[in-house]
Amino acid sequence: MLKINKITKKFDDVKALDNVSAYIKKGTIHGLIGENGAGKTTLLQIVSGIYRQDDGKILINNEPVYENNKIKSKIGYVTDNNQFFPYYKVKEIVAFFAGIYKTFSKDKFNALNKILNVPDNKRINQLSKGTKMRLSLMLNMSINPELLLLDEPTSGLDPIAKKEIIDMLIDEVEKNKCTILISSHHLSELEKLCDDITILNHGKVTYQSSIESIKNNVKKLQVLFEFEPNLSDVNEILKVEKLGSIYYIITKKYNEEIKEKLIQKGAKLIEEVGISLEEIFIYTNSKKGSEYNAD
Amino acid sequence: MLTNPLFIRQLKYALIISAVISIITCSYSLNESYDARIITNDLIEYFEGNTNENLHGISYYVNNEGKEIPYINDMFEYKMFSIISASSIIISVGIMIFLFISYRDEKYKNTASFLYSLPMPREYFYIYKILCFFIVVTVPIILTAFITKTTFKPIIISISPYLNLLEYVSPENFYFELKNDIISELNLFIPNLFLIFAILNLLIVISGRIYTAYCIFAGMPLTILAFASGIANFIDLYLQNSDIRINIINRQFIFPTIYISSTQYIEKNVIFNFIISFVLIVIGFFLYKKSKPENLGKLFTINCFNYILYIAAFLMGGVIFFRIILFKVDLNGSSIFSGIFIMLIGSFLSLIITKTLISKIINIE
Repeated sequence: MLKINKITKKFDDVKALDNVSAYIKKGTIHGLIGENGAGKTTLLQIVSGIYRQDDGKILINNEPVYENNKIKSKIGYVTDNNQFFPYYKVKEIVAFFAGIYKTFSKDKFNALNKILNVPDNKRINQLSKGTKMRLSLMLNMSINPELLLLDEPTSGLDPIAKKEIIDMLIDEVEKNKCTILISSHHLSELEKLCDDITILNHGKVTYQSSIESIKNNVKKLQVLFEFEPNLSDVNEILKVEKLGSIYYIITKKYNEEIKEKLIQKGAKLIEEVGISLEEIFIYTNSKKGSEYNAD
Repeated sequence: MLTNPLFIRQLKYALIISAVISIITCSYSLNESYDARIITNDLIEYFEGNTNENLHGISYYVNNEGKEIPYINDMFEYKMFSIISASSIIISVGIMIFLFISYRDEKYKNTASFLYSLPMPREYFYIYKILCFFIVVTVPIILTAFITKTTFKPIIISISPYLNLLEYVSPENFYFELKNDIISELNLFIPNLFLIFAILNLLIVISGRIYTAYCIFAGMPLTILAFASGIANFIDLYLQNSDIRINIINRQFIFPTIYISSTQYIEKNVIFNFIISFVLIVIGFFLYKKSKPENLGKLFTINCFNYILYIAAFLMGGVIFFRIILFKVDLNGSSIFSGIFIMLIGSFLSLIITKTLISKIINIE
């Protein structure tokens, strides 16, 4: 569906994206994680055809996006800065979308609005940030996109609206086989929602995997050593933290071989503990983690 | 292309703005024309009856009905006008700098991003802007020309109120070549100044120094204004050679600049403005297509168009109020200050009205 192949983008002298690659399968939800300024929004803007990459290729259904209106008409782009035209009324922006996108469904918009309740007589500049976000989601979902790009879609939303939107997105993928590329700082939400994730750090991909693979491979170990161990030669280790006499070790995979290595280093007790996406993000973006490229 | 909802929306506001400007300029020109007919007739009578009199120092003269018509020929008042003119320009530049700082926010960048994400050929945005700004600039020129039988060119000239005020300094201004020459030089200079800015702007776009373009408040609107001044010159030429042209003394009195410009510079001015403007628009189109959208997003928010219209509105409002209130109602030392006060209120009112209207177009950039 979406192929991102060695994309590079510079703004003046700053490299916003450096050799970024990803492949997103049709009908899946792909999460984009990174610190502020990591390049997530730039990547989404290039995929949506707003910016042109300096190097590399972006292909949607094997066609380039930039200045390709046929492809752009199949993309919905929701950003956390939903200005549209501030003086438009909601009903005017709906009419505008209907005029621009041939696939726009007014019925779908009305159906979504029954759930999200955006007043259609208000001007956009009178709406709160959360309401603008709901409006943007409704508009972009109503064009029946093949690819939906979401930049911080739950920003400014209350917990109920968040849940409703997450349900709507899952529904959209299930029913219409829509592909979603979503960037967010709410990693617990992404963990529940996404099939795959890409972690960006300073414009580079530092980790890319499916959620399932992460859960199967990346492990957090609680280890008790007899003496102070030297773990620098264990390449599979992403991060080591010491809390009293207990060591918390994050490994990109855990098997008998690793276990044996740790025993040789003096491990008396090894226990697996749960790890969240948030912890993976933190560890892969730490100094050692950033040197690691998985999969 | 022309049925696109974006264009229809822009067109609607372009027509509203051009209608408002037309009303202002028509009333402005009619008012000038009325003034000129009365005062010039009085002047002719005065000259015919007082050929040996020295006109310097005359504050009032008496018309046929025995009414005293005020005149500004006092050096103090002249200096006051110069100060007012200079202050207006300084205040306008201050406003421009303020707007420059306050408008360089994310809002415009986001709107530009939204537009570029739409499945529309990018060059449509350029064509829509050119068409709409063209309407905004040319409709008032043509309407004013045919309603008031004079030209719209003074709206560009009136950016410098100094020119408008000069004619009140003393009646000799209209007969002594020296002063007319100064005015005509300025008249030639101002529209060509737009061209200079437009050329600079394009050079800046080519070199990629977009933020510098903001600093000299350049942009496509300037190119179009230059284009418009070419049209104004054409109309000028047409009026000169047709039956509808008005009395030459009146014309001189109304807009002395136009008369001089028409006779001395019109041919090269017309050719220069038209050809250069057209070339600039075409070059701009290709540059627009070739340039990086992230930079064009910044440039094509066209804040500079805001600034130019704000300044024009500010000064026009000032000049109109200044003339109507100060000259027609009263003219003594104290009323000059009340006149200044009224002028400032009028200017700010014009500014607010223009800003509100223009923001409608800017938000569709």
